[in-house]
Amino acid sequence: MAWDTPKTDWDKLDYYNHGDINRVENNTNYLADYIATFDERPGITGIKIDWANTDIPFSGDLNKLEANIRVLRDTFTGDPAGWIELKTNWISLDKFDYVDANRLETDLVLLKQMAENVSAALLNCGNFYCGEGTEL
Amino acid sequence: MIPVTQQFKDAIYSPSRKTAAKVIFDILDVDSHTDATASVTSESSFSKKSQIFNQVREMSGKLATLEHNYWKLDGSFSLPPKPEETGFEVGWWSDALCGPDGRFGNYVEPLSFLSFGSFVSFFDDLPMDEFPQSVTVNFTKDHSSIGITITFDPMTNEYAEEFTIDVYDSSNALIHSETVAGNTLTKYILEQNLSNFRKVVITITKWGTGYRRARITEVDFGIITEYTGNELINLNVLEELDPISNTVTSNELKFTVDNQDKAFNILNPNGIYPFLQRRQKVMPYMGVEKANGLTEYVKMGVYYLNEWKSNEGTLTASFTARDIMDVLAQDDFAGNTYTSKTLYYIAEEILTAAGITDYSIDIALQSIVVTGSIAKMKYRESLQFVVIAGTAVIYSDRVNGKVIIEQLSSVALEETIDFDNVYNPPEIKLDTLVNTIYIDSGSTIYTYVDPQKPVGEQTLSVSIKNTLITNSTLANTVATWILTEYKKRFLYEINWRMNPALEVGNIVTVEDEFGENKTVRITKQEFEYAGYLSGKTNGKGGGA
Repeated sequence: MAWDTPKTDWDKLDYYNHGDINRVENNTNYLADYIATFDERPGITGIKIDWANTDIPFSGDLNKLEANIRVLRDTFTGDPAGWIELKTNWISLDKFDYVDANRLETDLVLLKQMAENVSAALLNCGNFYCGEGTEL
Repeated sequence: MIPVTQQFKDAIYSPSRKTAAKVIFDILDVDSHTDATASVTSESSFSKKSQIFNQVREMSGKLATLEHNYWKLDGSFSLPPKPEETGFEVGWWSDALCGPDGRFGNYVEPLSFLSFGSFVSFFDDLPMDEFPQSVTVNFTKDHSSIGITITFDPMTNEYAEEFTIDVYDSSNALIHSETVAGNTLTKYILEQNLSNFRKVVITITKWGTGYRRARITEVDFGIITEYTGNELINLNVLEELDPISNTVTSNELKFTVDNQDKAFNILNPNGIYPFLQRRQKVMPYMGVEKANGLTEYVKMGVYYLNEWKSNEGTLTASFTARDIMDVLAQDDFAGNTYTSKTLYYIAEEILTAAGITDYSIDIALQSIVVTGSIAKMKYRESLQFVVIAGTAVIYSDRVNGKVIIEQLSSVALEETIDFDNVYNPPEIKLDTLVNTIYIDSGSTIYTYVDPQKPVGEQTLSVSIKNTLITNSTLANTVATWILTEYKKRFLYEINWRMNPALEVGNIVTVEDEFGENKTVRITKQEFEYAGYLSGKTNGKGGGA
């Protein structure tokens, strides 16, 4: 499953469609898989990447989306710079707007960057590092 | 006091103001909405088709779904309620979506498939969204109305563009069929005299926007008319509230509309007259033009039609309507005996027996326990027993006509009726002095004498009979409350410009010629609108 370029410039004139939720779910799943290449796979739940225009997103679905991103975030210590706190207490009739849409995808972008940095910094077996210690 | 904007407050007390009024009149068959049941071609998981008859004509919000380019991120869309959740207004939403051109069912070419001899099985194999979406409304008895009003989705300004309305009688014979094309209204009104119908089928073939569910917020069997401007000749609203519930009255609305088209004439076969029914809902509004040029209205209550007549000479029609308290005065409560029951419980029992579902009872009545009885009497009288025992009042609220039982607040509003807004200085009289209260429980007479009564002063008493006040503690509480109210002996009558946001029961300050400027509880208001607003306010205030 490939990373799907997020949209982080949501505006109040934009519309939220099923493809947008699919992208969030897909990228959440992508990051869980990516983290699994160097650590234990985060325990995200209920990933759904086949949202259709006939589907209806209820508060529970939004809570799940954000809770899964939270699970990814908890893999690391500390928030990435620019992190926007998630909302996991959606209830019926809550209003979801462009600020919320931006939060979901901005946080995923930040998590991807962090995961890639961690992955790049890992010591792999057989690698030889020198110059930082006093003795070999 | 009804909440209003600061601009409204500025405008209503402005030296120069432009007031307005309107009346929304539901000329509906009053029983049809309770007799109707709906079946639909498809229904979304959170849809509630039974709500299309509940006389709520607006959804709880713009409900977000994933229909293409529907959920705008401007903060106006809300997450829909879950299917199992109640208390939200959603109406009917089809499960099926229309095509890109808004059509439900436009992919079918029936004739080309008839030759295969398998027409029916072909339809069976089609996905549901390729059929027109319909609502079939069945009744158990005949109904008649002056038309049908269909409210689609005013909140998102979406509507069915093409649809049919078929009306059938009890033998399933079609008595009227209306095909609508090119509709752009979120509230469609079919004005057609419909007599003795048993079934109505609304079939939506095209929605105004592509990739949408069909949805209907409300179906009304009749028409909802709005009278304003020159059509509304005059409007009079009378509100009363006795702070000690010695009398429980119903508020009254009177209005006159232009009848030059003779719609309300008795003999007009195409008129409205045959479809007028007692208890049709009428909602008056009064407002003022704000500095920005917009008129802000205040709802003046929910009333039920009582009398009407056509004034042949003046080409007008006049109507009288009263609030739910009048309906409660029509029928009898069977009576009951109570042992250690709260007044809250008793009030709820009476309201439920009267068929009232929309009510609010002060929780203070949950802590007042009584042992007593109520004989067979009108619902309104039996509730009067409860509210007196609970030192409360009962009235119908302005917003939705809900029955309210509450202990009145003694906090004054920051509102003053000053000389800038009165036509004459307030008339102030002194009410009768009372120093003794007798409460007759049916078996015992409790006597309460004002502790401040001067020795030797003549006994000036008030007696009440209440079979729920059967112990001295409660009798003492009630008597103290009554006496306290009687001590507010200054009776005010103020002819002034009126503020529709003020309600009876509110406490306001009234400017007088002597600078006393006492606080006064409003007990009666008479709003008169005849191109401009004026009226009269009565109240009680002051000390002993």
